[in-house]
Amino acid sequence: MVIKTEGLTKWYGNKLGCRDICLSVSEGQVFGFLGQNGAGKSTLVKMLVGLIFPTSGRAEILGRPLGDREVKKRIGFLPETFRYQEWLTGYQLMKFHASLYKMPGSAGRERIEEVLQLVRLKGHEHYKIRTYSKGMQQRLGLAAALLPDPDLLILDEPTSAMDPLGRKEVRDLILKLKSAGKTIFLNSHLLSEVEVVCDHVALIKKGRIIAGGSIGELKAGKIEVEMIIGNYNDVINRSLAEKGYKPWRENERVMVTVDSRDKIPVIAEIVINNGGSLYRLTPLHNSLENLFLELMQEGGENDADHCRDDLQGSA
Amino acid sequence: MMLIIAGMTFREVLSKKIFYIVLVLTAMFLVVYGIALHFAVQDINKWGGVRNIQARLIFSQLLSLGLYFSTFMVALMAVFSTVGSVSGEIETGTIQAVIAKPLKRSELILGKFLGYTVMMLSYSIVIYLGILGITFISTGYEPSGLFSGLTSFLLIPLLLLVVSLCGSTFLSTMANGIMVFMLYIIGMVGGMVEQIGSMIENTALVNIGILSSLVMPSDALYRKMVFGLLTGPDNPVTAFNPFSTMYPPSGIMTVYTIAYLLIVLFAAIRIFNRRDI
Repeated sequence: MVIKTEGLTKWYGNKLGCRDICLSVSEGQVFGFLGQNGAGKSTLVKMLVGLIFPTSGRAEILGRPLGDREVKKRIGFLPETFRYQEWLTGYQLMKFHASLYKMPGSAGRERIEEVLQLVRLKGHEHYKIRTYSKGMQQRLGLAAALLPDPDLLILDEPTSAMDPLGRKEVRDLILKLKSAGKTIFLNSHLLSEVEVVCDHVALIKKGRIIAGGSIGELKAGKIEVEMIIGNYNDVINRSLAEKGYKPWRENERVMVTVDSRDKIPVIAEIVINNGGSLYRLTPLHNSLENLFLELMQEGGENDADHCRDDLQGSA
Repeated sequence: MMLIIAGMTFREVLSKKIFYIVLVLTAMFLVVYGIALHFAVQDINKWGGVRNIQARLIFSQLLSLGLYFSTFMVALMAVFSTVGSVSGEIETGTIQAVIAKPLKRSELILGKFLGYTVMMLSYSIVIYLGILGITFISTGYEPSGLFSGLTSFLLIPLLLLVVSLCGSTFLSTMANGIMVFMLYIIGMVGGMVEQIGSMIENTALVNIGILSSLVMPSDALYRKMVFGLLTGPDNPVTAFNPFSTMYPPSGIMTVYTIAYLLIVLFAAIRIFNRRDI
């Protein structure tokens, strides 16, 4: 396992960061970590790279405990804030980071050229970072993370400041690294991005993991059905809700989610038996976004908004 | 690793405009001091020059005035250049990518300490030699104990930068600035109280002064330096004025300061080692 965590928990005083996080990320995986703002995504990443210390639980990266210096040489990290010493030029920053990775002179210089090329910052490297756009600063951060040719790349919202073209380039880069056998841990809000590049995901809510597995597994069993119904009325609406299908309207379309294909005729039957004219019924491929929204909507506010005593009291 | 961080710290200071503004203002201070001294000397020389006891008294007072403001300048420079050394990087987030590297947190603190030390010592040596040089050229007045005076003078910014560095590992930049400056003021006022206490032989005042010097020995170091420079076999004049001293701290104060400095540096490392970022 490249990353293995067991019951990893972090409290900030009496405020929850994340709780009982158990994850396994194997070699060569692109692992997506999803969750709302404040759900605990960055807390986990910060623990993995040694910025914060767990309150309890344990974790191993590349077979060694958290904070191991030798292992850190094999990790590339792009922080969510991606702020760098803006009084340096891009190239000077790369040299600084190469020296922190103890990369020798000529090898370091070659690698700097290589990563600047990869993130398309070649030609801009001798300008001060303060003159870079946010997107360029994020690319620079990505270049710094790629410097040691890491076995594990941890990216926290890597495209948050990028334009669509930049996002596509980062997606392509992740796929390229994946094909080279690198392991990537990706924190992201952008579900479409995760869906394209990740093969495994975990969803975090209220500081706890609420779902996890391969994308295929997570999406299996959930089918979104789109219907165009004439004479759509309250009775149909109520009947669908009573059977647990929770319909919602999107313009003239009525949408429901079913667990399996067997339920599709049941839906049609409810519509027709209650006076609806079913003009169209289309089972849709369920997107990760829908699954995410569904899981996140269930429940309510984050546990992270509660204090320690509240949670202990309710446990 | 420590040297890499020290180099980066040094470069960071050089990259700031304020550093150059301070250098220009320092040069202006030395020029103004030199001009003032020049005109003072023109009058005083009429009394018989540096051999005249009254002239020596006034020269030593002018020197102590120069040293007093020099100390104030290096203290301010030490505090304001280091006040956000760690907290500022935490607040902006620049430290995150650095801590994730194969680097010990202690190396980061020691590297920063080294970088600031080299910068502050260079600056302080220039000011110290500048003031003494200008005084000597203008007046021919030779203070005694130049080297031990320099040691005390250099310990002042070193002490403040260590306290400021330590504070920045657990306080916000603003809170740290206030804390270190207040400590410096406590040291200064305590020093004055001790002087008055010694003069009127009031033990309570002396004890308050000693206690404040233990909390922040910067003023004690200043008084030790001034006493060494302005008295001694070559200068039998005890120049009592608001910037000078009649009752110097003992040599133990230097040892205490060094121990204080090392303990605070160690505390900075310990605190930062456990700090969540």
